[in-house]
Amino acid sequence: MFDNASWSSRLLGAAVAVSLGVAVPACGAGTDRWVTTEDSRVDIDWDELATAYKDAEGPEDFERRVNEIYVGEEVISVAVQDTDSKTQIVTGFFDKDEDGKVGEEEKIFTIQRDLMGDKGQYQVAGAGAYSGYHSPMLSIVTGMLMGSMMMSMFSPGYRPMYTTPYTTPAGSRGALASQRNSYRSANPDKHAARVSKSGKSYGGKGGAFGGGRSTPAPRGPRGGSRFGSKRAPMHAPTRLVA
Amino acid sequence: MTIRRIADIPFGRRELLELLALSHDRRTPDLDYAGFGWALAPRVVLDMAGAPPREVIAPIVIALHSADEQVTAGDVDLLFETDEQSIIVPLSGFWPHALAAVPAGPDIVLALCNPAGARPPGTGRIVHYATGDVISWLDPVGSTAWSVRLSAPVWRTLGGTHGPR
Repeated sequence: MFDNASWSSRLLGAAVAVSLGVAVPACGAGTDRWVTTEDSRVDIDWDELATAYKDAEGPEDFERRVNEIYVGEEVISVAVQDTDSKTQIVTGFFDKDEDGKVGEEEKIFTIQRDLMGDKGQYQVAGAGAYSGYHSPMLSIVTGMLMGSMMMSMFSPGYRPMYTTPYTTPAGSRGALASQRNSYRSANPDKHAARVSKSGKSYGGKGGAFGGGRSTPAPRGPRGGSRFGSKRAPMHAPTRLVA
Repeated sequence: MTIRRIADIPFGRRELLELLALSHDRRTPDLDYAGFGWALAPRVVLDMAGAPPREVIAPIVIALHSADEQVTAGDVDLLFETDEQSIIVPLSGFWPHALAAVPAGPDIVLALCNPAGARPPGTGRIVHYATGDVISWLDPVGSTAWSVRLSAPVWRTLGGTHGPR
């Protein structure tokens, strides 16, 4: 573990080292196959995502909220399934092949909601490029302000609605993108604030290092790196065996 | 300087947080990061789905990157990016140089995406390695402390008196 007292010197050291270092992109735009996932480098505001799920009136409302939160250019599709009378699994995914189904490599996040008597809980987990993120277990109790998608489970005689999964129709993605563009135009300050919070790099490197540690620790984990390249090498590769 | 031999690859010690791209606040992994090297860690948590996290005390962390195209069967093709070169080396070829560069004794945690689950060459040392993608995280502990976590689909342990686990 590390404490804050030793952080400043570590951070300064890191910033200097990076600015002088030789690291070059290993996972970025460069090959066609990677272009489709480029925006998965955009930070997702997990707190906003959890709130969107809590407040959603239904799957269509949730997918609209998710795409307003997401600052990348791709459209996020969602799948909602009640796996039994107590558990609902919500998956966000980039429907890259536009087949209207959740592909394992298309997953961005999952939300699992469980009902336990008169209480419930849900947790958000990252997937794919976001794997490893887990929100705290968030509790749900009657009386909380919540949307009908969640509130329905507290209704007398509740029956799961999505035993047959709902999935964003591939044909709706265009409408979602259009709706999101309208939202961004109508809420430029909100969108700009989300973009500035995102860690997406638009090509500049090194300068992003140096975020201060004088601020309080964020609630969630900090992402580091994946130790495998998903793109072509920067230069014509030299293969060495000795 | 053009690198023509594995031994010339600049594999050196770095600060742990810098090595694992954990030096600044961000919520998702920096997929542009290509840094490599080794570091001493006070503690690392190995996290995998469906199993309790495993804590490794005072290990050496070796951070490397697998290449996108894997062509060497039973091995991991590593990609080293420098200003001038992209160098591909099989893990089995680089591993002796990596071990020669790090202190003897502590467990080794290998931060390396390992798509085929290839085992590093046996050396008698305890080596924790992953199958699948490895992603680094820094988890808050209380209000002031942090804990380094490496997540992967599966973590395995090789060598030492325990044998593979």
